[in-house]
Amino acid sequence: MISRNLRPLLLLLAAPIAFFATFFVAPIAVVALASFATDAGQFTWSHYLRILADQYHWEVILATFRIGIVTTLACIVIGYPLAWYMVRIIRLKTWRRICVILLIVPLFTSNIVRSFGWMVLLGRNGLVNDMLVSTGIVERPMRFLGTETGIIIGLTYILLPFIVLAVGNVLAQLDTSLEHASCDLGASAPSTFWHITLPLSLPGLIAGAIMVFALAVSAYVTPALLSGGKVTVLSILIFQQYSSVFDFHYGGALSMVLLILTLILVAMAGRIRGKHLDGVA
Amino acid sequence: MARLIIRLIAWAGLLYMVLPLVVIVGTSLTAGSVLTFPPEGLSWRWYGIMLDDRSYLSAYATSTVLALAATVVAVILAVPATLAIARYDFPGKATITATLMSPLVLPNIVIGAALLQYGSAFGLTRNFAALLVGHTIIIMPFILRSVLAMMTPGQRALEEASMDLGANAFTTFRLVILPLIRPGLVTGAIFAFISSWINVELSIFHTTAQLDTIPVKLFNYIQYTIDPTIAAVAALTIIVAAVAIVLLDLTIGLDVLSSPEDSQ
Amino acid sequence: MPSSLLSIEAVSKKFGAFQALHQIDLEVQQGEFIALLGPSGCGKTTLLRTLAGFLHPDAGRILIEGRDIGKLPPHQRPLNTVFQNYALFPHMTVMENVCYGPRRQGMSKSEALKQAQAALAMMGLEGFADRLPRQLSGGQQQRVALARAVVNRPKLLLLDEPLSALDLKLRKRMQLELKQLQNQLGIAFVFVTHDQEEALTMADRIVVMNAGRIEQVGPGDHIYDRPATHFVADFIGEANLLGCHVDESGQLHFAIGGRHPLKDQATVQGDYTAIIRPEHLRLEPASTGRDAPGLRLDVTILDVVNMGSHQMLYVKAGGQALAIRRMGPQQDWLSPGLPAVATLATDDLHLVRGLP
Repeated sequence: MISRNLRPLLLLLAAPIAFFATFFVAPIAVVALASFATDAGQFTWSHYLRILADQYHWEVILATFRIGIVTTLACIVIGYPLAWYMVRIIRLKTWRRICVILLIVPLFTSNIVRSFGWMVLLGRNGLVNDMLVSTGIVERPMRFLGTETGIIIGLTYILLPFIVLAVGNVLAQLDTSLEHASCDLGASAPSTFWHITLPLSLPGLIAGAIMVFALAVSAYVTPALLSGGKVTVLSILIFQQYSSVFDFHYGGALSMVLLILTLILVAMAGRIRGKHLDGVA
Repeated sequence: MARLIIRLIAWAGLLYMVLPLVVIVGTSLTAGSVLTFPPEGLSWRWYGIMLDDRSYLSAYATSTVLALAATVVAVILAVPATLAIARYDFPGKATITATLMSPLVLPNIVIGAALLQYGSAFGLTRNFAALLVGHTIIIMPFILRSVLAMMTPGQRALEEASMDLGANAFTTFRLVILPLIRPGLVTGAIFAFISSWINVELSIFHTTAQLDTIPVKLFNYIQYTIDPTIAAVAALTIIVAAVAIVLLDLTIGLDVLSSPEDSQ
Repeated sequence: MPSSLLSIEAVSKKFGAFQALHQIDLEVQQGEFIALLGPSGCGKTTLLRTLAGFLHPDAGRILIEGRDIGKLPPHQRPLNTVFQNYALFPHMTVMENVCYGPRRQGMSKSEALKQAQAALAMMGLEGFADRLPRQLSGGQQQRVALARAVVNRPKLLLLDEPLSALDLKLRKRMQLELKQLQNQLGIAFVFVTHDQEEALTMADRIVVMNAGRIEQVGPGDHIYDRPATHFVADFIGEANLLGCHVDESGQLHFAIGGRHPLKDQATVQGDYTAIIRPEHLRLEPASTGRDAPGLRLDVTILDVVNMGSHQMLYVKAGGQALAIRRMGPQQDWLSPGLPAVATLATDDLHLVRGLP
C-alpha cells in the first residue's frame, strides 16, 4: 500500500487537486473572506451580527429549520416502513426491482420537474384538493402552495428515497441469525424488533436522517417554487443576495453559516456510520 | 396486524413516489390549454409546440453537451485521483479525499454563489466555461466513489502480478486496471451525467437567455406562466429518466436492497 | 412406558423439488447426548431448525414430553439453540446477552441477573459480564452463547455445529468441556456435526444421516463395529468394502478372490458387502507358507505411511485397494512395490446386504 516513490503520486494528483483548489476551495475562501469584509476591505463581524440581530432573518432561519425537521420526520415515518416492506416483506424479486425503480426514477429527474408536479397536484384545483373535497375531509379547497406544508410535501418527496435506501441497506445487511436467536430465547416478534432490529438499524437510520436534514435546509428550488414567494428559507435569502441585492458580503455570511452547518451535520453522520460499522462488523 | 400497517404505509409511499410523475406526463397530453389532471382529451399538441420552439431545442442541446463535457472532464480528473487515493499513502490524504467528495453534500447554492463571485474577477461568469467548471466540481464525487469501490485488494494483486511480469505502470493501467474498473467507471459516469443534466441550483447563476439548460429554463418559465408546454418538456425528461433507469436495471442490475439469503 | 423427552414422528420437509427430510423418526431421552452426524446437505441442520421452530415440517409431528409442539412459534418452545456463528447481540454486553432470555420471559431484572451470573460462573466467564461480544475471543464467545442458552433451563439444547469455527486444539478441549457440561446440567443435547470424530467423542448415541434419511442410530462403538449400511460403514472410520457371495454351504467367496469360513452359519445365501476395518487385516511377508484356513490374499504394497506407533499400509489385491493398519515398528519387507499376503485377523465379519 505504501510507496515511497513520490513522482507517480504527484503526477496523479496534480491535475485534480489543482482543479479543485482553483475552482472549489478558492471560491469558497473568497466567499468566506467577503463575509468578514466591509466594502472598503476592512475586517468586520457586522455581517454575521446582522444575521443574529435581524428579526426577519431569524424567522427565515427558524422556518428553514422547521421545514427541515418536519421533512426529516416525515421521511422517517414513511421511509422506514417502506424500506421494511421492500427488504423484508416483498417475496418476488421482480416486484422488488420494480419498487427500486419507482424509487430511483424520481432521483434521476430534476428538482424542478418534481416540484412542478407538486405545484400541479397541490393547486386549488389540483388532484389533492379534489380528493379532499370529494371525500368530505374538508369543505373547501385547502391552500398548500405558499405554505410551509406545501414545501414540506415537496421536499419529503424529493428526499424520501435517501432514507429508504439508507434504512434498506442496513436491514438487508442485518444478520438474521440475531433475530432468530432472539426468538429462540423467548422474545415475541414485536419484542425482537424493539430489542434487536431497531437498535441495530438505528445508526443507519440516524446517519440517513442527518443527511436528509442537511439536504432539506440547503434546498433551493423546491422551496422557491412551492412557496409562491410567501415563504423564505435560507437558500432563497442567499440567492437573493447574489442575484438581486448584490450584497456579496451579507450573502457570504449567510453562505458560510449554511456551509458550516452542513459540514457539521455531514461530519456527525460520518461519525455515526463509522461507529456503527465498528460495532457490528 | 403490524404487517398490514406496514403494507399500507409502503403502498402509500410508492403511490406518493409515482403520483407527480404520472400527473406531469398526463397533463402534458392534454388536448386543452390548461393544466388539469386528468387531462381533457389526449393530444400530442404540446410536444409539437415544444419541438417547434428553437429555444427549447437549443436548451436540450446545451444541457446534453454540457453534461457530456462535464462528465468527460470529471472522468479525466477523477480517475488519477482515485488511483492515488486507493494505492498510496500520503499526508493529508483524509482531508484531500473528504474535500474531493464534499461537493456531493454541500449546498449547491453556496457553491454556485461562490463560483459566481470568484469568477467575476476574471470573466468566468455566465459562459459555457463557468458552467462547465461548476458542473465538473459537483459531479466528480460520483465517479470518484464508483471507481474507488472497484479498487479492491484483489484488484491490487492483479496489478502487482502485471508489474511482476514486466509491465510498467502505464501499461498496467491500460491493460489491467482500466478494463477492470470499467463497470464502476461507467456507473459513475452515468450518475455524473444525469446529475449534471438535471442540475438547477448551480446553473441558475451562469445561464443567460442564449445559454440555457432545460432545468433552468423550466425554472424561469414556471415562475411566470404555467402551460402544458412546460408539462411536455418536463414529461420528456421523466420518460428519458425512466427509460434510462430501466435499461440500467436490465444491464447492470439495481438490486440494491436484497439480503444475502435472497440469492438462494 | 414413560414418554420420551423428544419424539420426532415421520417428519418430512421439502424445499421446492428437493426433499430435505424424508420420514424422520427419532426418540431422545432425558439427559442424552445425541449427535446428528452426516455430510453437508444430509438434512441435519434442517432437522435441527425444524425442532427449534424456524421451519415447518410438511408432514409428521414433534412431541416434547408427549405434547405436540408443532404449532408453537420458536419463542414459545421449551428448547434453546446455540447457533453456528453464536449470534451474540453485538450491541449488548455479555451480561445483557445472557439476561435476554429470562427477561423476555418475564423475570425481574434482579432475578435475571442472579441467574445470569450463575450461568456465567458455570462457563468460567465471571468478570466478562461487562464486555461486548466483539471484545471476546472465539472460545469466549462460544461460552457466552452456551450460557445464554442454558440460563433458560430448556428441556433440550440444540447445538448447530458450534465448534466448527474454533481451531483444532480449542475444539478438542471444548468437546470434553461440553460433555462435562452436559453431564453437569443433565439437559439433553442434540448436537449437529459433520465431524465423525467429534460425534464419537461426545455422543451417547449417534444419528447418522444421509440425503434426508436416518441411516443408523446407536452408540458410537456399535455404529463402528456394526454399520447397518454401506454409507455408514464408509462414513464412520475407514473401511474396506469387499463384495462377496455366500453360497449354499455357508462359505464366503470374495469377489477379488479367496474364501473365508462364515462364523454365523445361519446367514442367508446371496450377495453381500463385507465391511472390514483396517485393523482387522493382517499383512505378512510373501514368503510365509499357507497354513491357516480362511482368507489369504496376494497383494502388492502401494504405499506405507508411518504414523509413529503404527503404519497405514495401502495395498492392492485383484484390482481393489485395501487399507491395513499395522501396529509395531517399521520393517524392511514393508516397501512399496513388494509383494505381501493379507489375512483376516478376525472371525467376526460384518456383512451388509448387497454389493458395494
